[in-house]
Amino acid sequence: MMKICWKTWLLLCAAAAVVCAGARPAFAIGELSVGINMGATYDPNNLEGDIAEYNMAMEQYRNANDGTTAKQMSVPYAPVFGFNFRYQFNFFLIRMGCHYTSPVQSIKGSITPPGGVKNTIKIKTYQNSYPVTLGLLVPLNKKTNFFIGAGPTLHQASVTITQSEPVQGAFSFQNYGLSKDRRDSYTATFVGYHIMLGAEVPVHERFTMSVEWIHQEGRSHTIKNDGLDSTGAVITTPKHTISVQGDFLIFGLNYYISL
Amino acid sequence: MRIRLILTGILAVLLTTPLFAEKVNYALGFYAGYAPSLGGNLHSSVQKNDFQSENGLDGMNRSQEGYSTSRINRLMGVAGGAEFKVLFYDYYQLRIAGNYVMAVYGGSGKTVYDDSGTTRELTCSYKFSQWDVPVTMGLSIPFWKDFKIAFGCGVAYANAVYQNKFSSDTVERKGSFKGWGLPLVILLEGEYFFNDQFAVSSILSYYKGSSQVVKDGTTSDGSTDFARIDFTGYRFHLGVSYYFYSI
Repeated sequence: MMKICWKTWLLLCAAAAVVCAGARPAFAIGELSVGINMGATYDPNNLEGDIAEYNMAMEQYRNANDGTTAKQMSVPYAPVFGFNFRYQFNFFLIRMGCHYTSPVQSIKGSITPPGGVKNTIKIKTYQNSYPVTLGLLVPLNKKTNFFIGAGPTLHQASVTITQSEPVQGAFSFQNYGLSKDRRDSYTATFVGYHIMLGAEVPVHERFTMSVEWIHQEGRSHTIKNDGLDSTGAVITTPKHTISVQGDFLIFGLNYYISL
Repeated sequence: MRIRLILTGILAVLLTTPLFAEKVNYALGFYAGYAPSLGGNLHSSVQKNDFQSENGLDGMNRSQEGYSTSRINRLMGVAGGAEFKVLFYDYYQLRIAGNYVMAVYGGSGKTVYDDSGTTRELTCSYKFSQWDVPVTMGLSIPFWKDFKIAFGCGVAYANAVYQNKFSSDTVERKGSFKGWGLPLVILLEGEYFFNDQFAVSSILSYYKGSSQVVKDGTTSDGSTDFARIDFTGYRFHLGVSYYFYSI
């Protein structure tokens, strides 16, 4: 479930207000636009390496133990939804936005050792990003632009890994240097950065269509585990970090507001 | 087979659709280039379990006084392909391409590893080849009189073969992995037009994605390896394009 940080919203609203106020001098020199975005990202919260480790452990165990059945987890694509405010003047732009992403299908795998019970492993994850971008705009025609920019991003990210039967008989992910906990859960808010490249073309008098690529980098501080061990007891270790390194592909519909 | 049929069907429909005749242009292009860091770090479980490398080829680069070692570079591949583009309503572009990439440089050298307390030299060799079919959608923006820049994104069907071989005085390990994936694709393409229909193009594309963990297909060495085939990386191409109608 999406969690909204009210401080972030306050910050965004204040920044938007500043931009709007700044855009009303005696003579308007810039343009303000509001956009809604939809797109996709691959591997939100950079879990590909972790997923591969679990998959590798399951495959190695299956290979060494006849009668084992295993189903690998897939690295997910996830839809991205968001909106942004953009103010541009001459060749410069400042943009503030918000993106939310979470895989539609659960990331799910399982292993059943011979004579054992099925251990289903699931990963749930989501990410809220609030990028603030400063950039350059290359106008080609009326409302036909290329833009490139970079800036800081405030991230809220969460990763939860659950296992239904983590310890049984001879098999445990712990034997492969992985977790044997029933639940490992990490949530953090932290600042990273991003670079952005995009283009937009006019659709109608006040509307443009844009396509953009956002590459983001960032890693949280070390986070306490809000977890449960294999017996169901509450645990706070191992501590972990969340990496938000990744790429977003976003299509946008933008509306230019008269100033 | 099914994918080929679907792609052929899409092309046939697009080429014969009169509905957009006046708003649609088509282009065919051919290109060649290179792909640095092909296959990523080429990690596999044998490298971790037998040769103490947590991150594939990168971690295999070691040296020790008294031993003759040489650097193992990441693979660089040569790439080539063909593209078919549909441009509609002035700015919008759908692109389907077919690419082949093969490693031609890097991926071999000598390192050392700890064999139960004894340091031994180890000869390493990596090979990688891939074909893929990316489908991207994006914007194609003409500017000045004879330039176009296209920016698009999408997904590719990628299929690769990755092989490795490690040999020392006492052991030989061979791995061969075949796998597929659906990596994300980002594409930036610039074109300069010699005339109304011919252009030279330069294409930068970025792939991000990997296959599931694949089991080694080689059994002659008596060990089983596992690897995830990594499609992530950049490609740079130069080529030519022919537009069916005047731009």
